[in-house]
Amino acid sequence: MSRVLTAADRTQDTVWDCDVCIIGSGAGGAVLAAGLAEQGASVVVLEAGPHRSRADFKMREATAMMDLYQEAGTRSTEDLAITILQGRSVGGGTTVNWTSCFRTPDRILQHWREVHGLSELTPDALRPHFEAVESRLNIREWPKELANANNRVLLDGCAKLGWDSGPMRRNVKGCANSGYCGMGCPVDAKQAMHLTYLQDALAAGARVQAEAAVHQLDVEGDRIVAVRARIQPHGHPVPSGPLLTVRAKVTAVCGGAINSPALLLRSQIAASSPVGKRTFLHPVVAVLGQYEQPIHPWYGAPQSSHSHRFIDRGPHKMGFFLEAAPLHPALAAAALKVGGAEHAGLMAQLHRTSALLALHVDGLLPGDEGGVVTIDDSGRPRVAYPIGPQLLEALPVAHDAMARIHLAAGAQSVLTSHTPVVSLSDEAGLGALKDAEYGALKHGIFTAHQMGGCTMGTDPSTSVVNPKHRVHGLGNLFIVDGSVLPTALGVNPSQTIYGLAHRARRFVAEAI
Amino acid sequence: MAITRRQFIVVGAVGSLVLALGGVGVGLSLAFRPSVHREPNTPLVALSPLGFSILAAVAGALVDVPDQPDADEAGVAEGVDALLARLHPAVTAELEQGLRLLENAAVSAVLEGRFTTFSASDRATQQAVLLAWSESEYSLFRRVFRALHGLCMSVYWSQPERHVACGYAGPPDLSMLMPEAP
Repeated sequence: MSRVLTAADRTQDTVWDCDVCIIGSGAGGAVLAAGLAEQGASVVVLEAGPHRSRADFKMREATAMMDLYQEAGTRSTEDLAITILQGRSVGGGTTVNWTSCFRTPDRILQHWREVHGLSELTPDALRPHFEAVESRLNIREWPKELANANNRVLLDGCAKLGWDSGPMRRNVKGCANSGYCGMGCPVDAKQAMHLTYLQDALAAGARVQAEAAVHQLDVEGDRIVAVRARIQPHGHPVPSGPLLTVRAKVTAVCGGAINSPALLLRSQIAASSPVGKRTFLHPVVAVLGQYEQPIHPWYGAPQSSHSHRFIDRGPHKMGFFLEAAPLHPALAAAALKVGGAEHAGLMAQLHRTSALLALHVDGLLPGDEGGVVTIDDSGRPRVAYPIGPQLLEALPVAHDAMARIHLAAGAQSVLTSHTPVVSLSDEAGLGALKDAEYGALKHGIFTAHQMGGCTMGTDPSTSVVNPKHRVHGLGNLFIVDGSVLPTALGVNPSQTIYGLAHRARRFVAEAI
Repeated sequence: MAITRRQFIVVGAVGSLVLALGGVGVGLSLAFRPSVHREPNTPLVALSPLGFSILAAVAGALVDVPDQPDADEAGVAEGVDALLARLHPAVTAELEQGLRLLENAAVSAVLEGRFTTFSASDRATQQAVLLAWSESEYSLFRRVFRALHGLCMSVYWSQPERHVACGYAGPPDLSMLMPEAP
């Protein structure tokens, strides 16, 4: 079986011919590559990030952020209001995600059918694809009794309030419950793409080239005739190595939301379609609780519980769902937007601090168009994400909900990520959350779920790809990743992307 | 971070002021108390010497952890410089703009009544300035604060030697972990 190729394997300009060139090795690209290679197609996978594996995963934040995240963990919206956590290595986001798996909710599929014309995307049509990836990735419910203290806060707090909550399904096998999913699994328990579908692809003869940054797709008529990449050895700030040109019968862009639309924009493709528009982020806000007992928010499966109590808040209101989050020191230190002694005081209590998250479901309400991906003069993606009125209305409600959970779970104090910090210690203090300011740069906001930007639909004026993932107006270009999602999901997106990519194998194969 | 002249204009009246002062700011600063140079412990790979000196002052003001080394001793500014070397050069250029805006004594004299550069101010003043910028009604100042805060704090707290200060015992010995689960 061949291995993943790295920058060291490319010492001079190279041209490859193949059936399918897949750009990106994450949740979309890996599933697609395995299926096509196993069907006998000659497949090339190009990944901009480095190839890292268990031996490299040292459970250290500094090296993990440098090695495994876009822009060394510094990616953000252009106004710096939203921190964007997004993976960048062989395996894409699956190398660093927190293993949370959900099938696409029926209500979301219904919305897509009714509003975006995606009549083929029914639960029945997707079921076999979800079942296949669940089997391959060992997606199973994580036992409640193994929930760490951080997730126990969510479960216990919701139970005391009478709010629904439940355990998470995770794609792990032999999980050591260590808590380092976000830094690459140190025991190969996470069934990430570099251990599963990319191995399947390699076994079937696919070539996987890491550290190959694609900068351009060449178009002639309605065909992509070449994919142009340049080798970017890991740690180099810009691609400066040999050129790698791939001439493929079919090209599939799988770089994820943000990078996929940026590639189309650089290549001036689908100019009449809304490339980069309707980018959704599940904007996340956190509320911290300080407890008498140790929480050790860095140990244990990072996410093993959730509550969808607030997913449907009624007409014209943005819903949100609740999860827990790990608090490793550097991540927490950057999130606490204060300095000096106040910052040090908060950090001193980190071992007994719990973090709850509210993830807002953007893109469902009329008028909520999410953000926009553009490119700067050098072709780098830029993300603009205005905080719209629906999100602005939901933010204090989400803060209030998380504060109530913390208090119900026994927190001594509750803290927000506002600058300055808003704190309270009992229900009488909840009014402070109503009085606080919300919006861009008023408090911390981040995203770990990037969706949209090359949305799927039937109308070329309002979508970029058709229901079979083919770019409108082009015969041999497909997009198979989270960028095709017409809206956010209301659940963690990885399994939706796995499932859609599994379904897309047939469409891409038919185009060879 | 993007601090372009176009975005300065967006800030409005203050943006216009900053624009007017920005072109001559460093020169005017010399008329006040000039920048304090800080020698890096390792050769710079991304930042300019002035940018590094300002950043080191920022790090020193932000990091104040009892019984722990300060930002200088922990090499925070050097760590940020090393991180920037791995990013597109435009990122460093934008950060340098933010640092110079913070340092600019002409701007601070008008906006804050401060007649010294940031790097030449005493620690208490530096902390007060950063606090004011973190809560400023002008988003540009908040953005500069966020960029500098995120870089400095993440570099400092990612150092294993700092973990004792937050009760973190570090990565586990995997052989001692909980029994295997499904």
